[in-house]
Formats: sequence, structure tokens, C-alpha cells
Amino acid sequence: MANSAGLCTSFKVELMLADHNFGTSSATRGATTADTFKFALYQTTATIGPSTTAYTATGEVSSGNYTAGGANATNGVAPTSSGTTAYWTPSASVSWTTVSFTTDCALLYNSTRSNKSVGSYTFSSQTVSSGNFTLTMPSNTNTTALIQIA
Amino acid sequence: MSTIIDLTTQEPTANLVTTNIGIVPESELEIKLDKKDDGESWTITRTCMYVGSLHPHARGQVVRQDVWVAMKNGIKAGVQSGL
Repeated sequence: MANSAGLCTSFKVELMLADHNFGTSSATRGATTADTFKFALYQTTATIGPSTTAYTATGEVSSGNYTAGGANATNGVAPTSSGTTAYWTPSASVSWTTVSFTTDCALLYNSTRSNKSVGSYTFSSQTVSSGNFTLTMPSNTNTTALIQIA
Repeated sequence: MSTIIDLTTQEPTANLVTTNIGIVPESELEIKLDKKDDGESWTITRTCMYVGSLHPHARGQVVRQDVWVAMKNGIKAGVQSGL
């Protein structure tokens, strides 16, 4: 097994249950602040993918200056839509400073809501050694955003 | 009141880099940038190899590697059906 990319199936169900709030208002939950979403990084031997239902420490990278659970995604822009596609992207890159690990996958999850998973994002295996690892977000458009729902 | 700095007496300031053998002057490193298009993302890897003389045991070794992963596209769920 290996890491694989995809929006988590459980996330799609949870959208219908109004479980996640990416914006500053949620009619169902009455929330006025967005949930906190985080990125966790995984080793190439992990098995993160669309079937992942929540953040797990199993297979997560380990390093000084990397805290288990990863780092917050900056949420400065509320979800929006264009045409028939709704979309959302974190508004800044996420980075770790002076770390050492090998990774090929980042899991986005909702730390406000019991660490429920959102999506897994894969890339070619990358090794960082006593250096910085930066994950830069795609452009926030209806065809490139981190999360697109058509 | 302004302060006058005599630049002729200033020591040159070396750029210092944190590595796995400690903080070393950038001049002791051979730095290479590698850019790749992996399809779904662009990656830039900066590799610092030690070529200095202060730490002879580390000569020729990679003492620091930074990585930038720029995702081109996120993930789309669902496709509009044509009824």
C-alpha cells in the first residue's frame, strides 16, 4: 500500500451533515468562526488516502521541530463558487523550519471536529534534511483550488 | 542627530546557514537548486554540500536540504451529470 490522493469519502458524507465549517458562519451549527484545519505530513510507507476518516499518527513523519498533528492551514478566504463548482483553498503556504524527514503526502483534516479528515494530497517523495519544508497551495480558482466540488 | 558609519572599518558579514553540522558560512557550501515538474506539483530542492575546511569530516556531505512543493491543482469531487 502507499499514500494516495483524493477527497476523503467520509468528508463527502460529513458535508451533508454540516460537519465542517470553512467559513465564518454556519447556519446549522451556529458557528461564527471557521473550524481549524491542519496539514499533517506522512512517510512514503504510510497508507493515507480517500478511505482515511481522521488524522492518525500512524505513518506520520517525525522530526525535531515537527509537532505530531502537523501545522495549521491558514484560512483567510471563505469558500466561494464559480459556474457550478464550489471551492476553497488555504490562503497561505504551510511550512516547517529546520526539520528532517521524507514525505510524499499531506493530509488535510479538521482539528475542531475530532480531527475528521478532509483530503489527502500526494506528491513525489521529498527528503528534507536540517532544512525547511514548504507546501505551497494551488491557485484559488474553480479549476485549481485545493478543494473543488463540482 | 545622525550617526556616521565608517564603512572602511566594517568587517564583511558572511551569510550563515544552519546545517546538520552547525551554523556555517555560506561560502563553505556548494548550493544546488533542482527544479522538477512532477505533473501535479512543482518541486524545488536546494541541496547544500559542505566543501569547506572548518569541518573536514563533513567534506562532500549533504549538510542541509530544503524542499518547496507547489501544488498545481487540488482535488475535485463530483462531476456534473448530463441528464
